[in-house]
Amino acid sequence: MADLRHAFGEYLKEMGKKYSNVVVLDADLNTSTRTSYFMEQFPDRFFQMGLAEQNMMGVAAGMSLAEDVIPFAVTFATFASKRPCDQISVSIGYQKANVKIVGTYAGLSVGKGGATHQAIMDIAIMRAIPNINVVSPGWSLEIKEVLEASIKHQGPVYIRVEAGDYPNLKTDEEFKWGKGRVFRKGDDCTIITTGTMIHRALEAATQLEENGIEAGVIHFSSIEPIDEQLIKEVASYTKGIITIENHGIYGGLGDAVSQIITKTSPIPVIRMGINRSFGLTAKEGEELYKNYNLTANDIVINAMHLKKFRSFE
Amino acid sequence: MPNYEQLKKIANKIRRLSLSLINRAEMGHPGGALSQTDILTALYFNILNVKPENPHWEERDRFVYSKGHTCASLYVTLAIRGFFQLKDLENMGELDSHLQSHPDKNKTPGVENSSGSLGQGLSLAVGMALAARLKKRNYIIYALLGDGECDEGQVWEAAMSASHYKLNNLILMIDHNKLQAKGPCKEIMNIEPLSDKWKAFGWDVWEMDGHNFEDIITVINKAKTNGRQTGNPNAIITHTIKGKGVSFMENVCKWHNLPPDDQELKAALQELGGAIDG
Repeated sequence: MADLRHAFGEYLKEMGKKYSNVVVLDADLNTSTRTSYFMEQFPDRFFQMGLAEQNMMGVAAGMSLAEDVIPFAVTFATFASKRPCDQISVSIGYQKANVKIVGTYAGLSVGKGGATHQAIMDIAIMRAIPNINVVSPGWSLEIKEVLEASIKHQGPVYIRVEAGDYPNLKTDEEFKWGKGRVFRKGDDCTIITTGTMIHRALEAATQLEENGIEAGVIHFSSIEPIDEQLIKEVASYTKGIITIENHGIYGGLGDAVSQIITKTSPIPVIRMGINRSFGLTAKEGEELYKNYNLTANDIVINAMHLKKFRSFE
Repeated sequence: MPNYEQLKKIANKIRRLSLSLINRAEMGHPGGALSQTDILTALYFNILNVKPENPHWEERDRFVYSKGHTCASLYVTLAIRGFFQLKDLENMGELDSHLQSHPDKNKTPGVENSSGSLGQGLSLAVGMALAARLKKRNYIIYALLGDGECDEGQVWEAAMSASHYKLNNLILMIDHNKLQAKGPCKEIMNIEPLSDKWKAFGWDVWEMDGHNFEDIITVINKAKTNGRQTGNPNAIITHTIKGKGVSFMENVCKWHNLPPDDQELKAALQELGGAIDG
């Protein structure tokens, strides 16, 4: 499966089959988020909450407090993170309610929704709330891994799911909370990704190699907890870091990595993401990535810039 | 036949201990702690099917306490009922106390939900009611909200969903003391006609005198039966007096969040009937 939204829908349904205590809540977006697949299979375990996200989060929390159920509260990432922020903070985070919040359509992945539908600050918000694990998978199979790991994790989780068609990537180890995935090691610079940006980073690394620059590529789907150990290790040999996320540059992956780098091993970190502006309407997601300088080519340009600034020789 | 005299005695003790608690901790919301005392007494000493020695008993009734700021009398009620030791009340407000200024369900035995940010409790109650139905449980979910709290939009989202799902295992009480933080509800944000609003949202609505045990117990039981018959969630507008029991506090707005000083406490305790016992 290549389309991430479809994959999410299918794998959530699969989880519903495997784990009978999984329930799903929707805020009138089920065919868009693809929770409709779960709904069709398990109508008794699907709860339509209407266009009321604050209530949906509170209801999910209440369900998990009363009985042994694992509620997935699903809507677009921008609506999952901003309007019910206090409900997530108090009813879910503070209570440590076993709720899994899923935000779909994350970042710039869908053009037709425009600025109000494009989530550019959800990672920042969720990272800041104590007790919530934050994860951003980058391909279909990783979505499956993340869903299962979230079910097995006792406590709140925020899963951000982007849209688009991406290939599955092979990894040596299975997904683990707080563990990054190393795709390439590079002494000259290291590109650190989350979500679908892994694909653009791998493309960029190939291009850079052709230009004589050794770029490492590391993927953090698990943003909170984040792989501190790996970041420190990378900083010990690489000359510069580029972080890239389908998200704003404030408070997301870039800041999470910088937090650790500045503590122990200061090296230059170039943050790539949406540069503190709202999104735009477009016919294709790809147009947006170009417009906001988030393509593989933009990564290459930044790596070249790092080389000039930092001198890889 | 409930022992109304006994309930009155317990309520009186809860009032005395609550004011002492707020005075000693130097924090708290006395007005609302006193207006709800009789409701809490009726719940914990007559209505609720709970086991203090087993606060996680699966079949227990749930009580969602949404108006978190007035928790002093909830804490005292829980202590007297046996969920934790009375002496724990002495440390409330100190850094290492399990009794936070607003209830924390992960710290205090008997507390079903954390609160303090108003307007969230009814959604929790709806979630509990839905889960209970899914798992075919027989317990009832009670919720207590403030009237000022009904300003919060989320309350109405929850109200809509309770009716949509015909949650007849859900009973809401509103501590309608007609005052909120900075003034009377009528002046701050008028919520009347309150009964009509709940009816319009699809609830079966009752009214009761929040300081009359016979009324409280009768109406709650009627609401429970009614829910089984109509399939609707039930809301009980509970008419109360903020600061009830202390003449100089009754209906006086400043007692929303003002701890009584030692002299005021002494005067209040005298009105309520002497020094605290045990």
